[in-house]
Amino acid sequence: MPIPMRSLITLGAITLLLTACYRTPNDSVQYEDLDLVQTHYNASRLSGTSSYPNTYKTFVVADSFQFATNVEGVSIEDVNQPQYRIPLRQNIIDHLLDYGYLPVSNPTDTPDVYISLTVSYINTTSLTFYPIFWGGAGGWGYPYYGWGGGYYYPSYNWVPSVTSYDQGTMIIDWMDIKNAVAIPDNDTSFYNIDVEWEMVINGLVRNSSDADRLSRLQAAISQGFEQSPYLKN
Amino acid sequence: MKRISILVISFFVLSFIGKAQDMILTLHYNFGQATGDFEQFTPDPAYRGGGLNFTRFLESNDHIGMGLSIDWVGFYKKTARSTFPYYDEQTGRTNSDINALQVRYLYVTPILASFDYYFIKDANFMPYIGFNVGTIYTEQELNISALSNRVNTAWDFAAGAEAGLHLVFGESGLGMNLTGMYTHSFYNHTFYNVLLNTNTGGIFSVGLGVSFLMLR
Repeated sequence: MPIPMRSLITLGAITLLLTACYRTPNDSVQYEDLDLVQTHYNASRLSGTSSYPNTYKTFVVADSFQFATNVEGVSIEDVNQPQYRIPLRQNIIDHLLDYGYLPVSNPTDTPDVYISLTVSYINTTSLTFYPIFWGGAGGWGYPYYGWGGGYYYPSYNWVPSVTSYDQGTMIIDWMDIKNAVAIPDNDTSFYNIDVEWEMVINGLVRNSSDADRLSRLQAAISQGFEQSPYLKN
Repeated sequence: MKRISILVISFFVLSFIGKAQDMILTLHYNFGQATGDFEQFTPDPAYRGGGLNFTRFLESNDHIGMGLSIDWVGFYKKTARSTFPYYDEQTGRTNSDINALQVRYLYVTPILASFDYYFIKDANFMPYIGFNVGTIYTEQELNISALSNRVNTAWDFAAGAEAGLHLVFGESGLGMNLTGMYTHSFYNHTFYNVLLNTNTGGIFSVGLGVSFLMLR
């Protein structure tokens, strides 16, 4: 029995009806959904489960963000606008105080921990590797805090490439000044500094006049400390 | 190559027509529920799916139909934001925690040979049961917020059972098909970064569609 014409018409009608049944799942992704807070820690020093005692007492938080980018036209001033820099830095200081650390009493004192702040803005659309340059030469030892007046090289205890540093990344590094190792040199003193803890905040930047960017970053900073209870002193 | 495939297809089609065997072609919309480890990955029911089945009845016993079916079901789950350890794929150790949400997709495409038994033929109400055996193509995708996609695809062995019925609209050669189907997959994969293991799973799906009955 051949399929009659009216069957085909019926088939078309039913297909249309069934298409109407198709329910699109709620799979829209918001910008906030892509926000990611990742904390790395040196398991032998700051995991909370090790026998290694937390001997850090005093801290200094860098007073401005370093900037790493592969995009031209964005300057270090852009990432250090006061309306972002001041509240973000204060939030970090508040969490450190809350966890029992003390700020150095004198700005020229050497702290146990130096919290360095970095923003990277990496355009990955046309890249297979990341030629990052650090904006601001010798940025690791911020000149306001003159412990030794030397240069500092961060040394990571993990492979930083675990996380892709994507567009709009803020990196908060816990630099172990207390156990810094001086490297002899002719002209000036170099130090090798281990990064014992790191917070990486990753997200997409909506646009330049993004009103909730500050609140997203503030929430992410709080989350990063919250998920690192082993930092409590 | 194209010409050969046309020849092969024509041969099969003509051989069916020549022998005048009973045949049923079914198109249906599917919705499904994952079971087993699939359910752990995507617990929500899926409303995206569809399928096509072609059944041909034996000359000797026209209550027994053999056929081929292709189905597709797409599962989706967006988890709540949470904090979980992130493991190194090589060492299996962790020195990292992530706060993020996960967006998960599970797409299954079973391609199965079907063997059905029809209790009643030559009636407007044709219930049947059957079992299916074949292969399943699985696409499992895990996104951790801004971290790049992790996708695993695999072909696995699959088997399952089916029960359904055709409601035939008089002499039109058209009918409505309602079918319930369970397919078991031997898929096995681990996302080592988050130690998420999926070791075998099932799909329970309900199909509602239209059948074209070519019965003598």
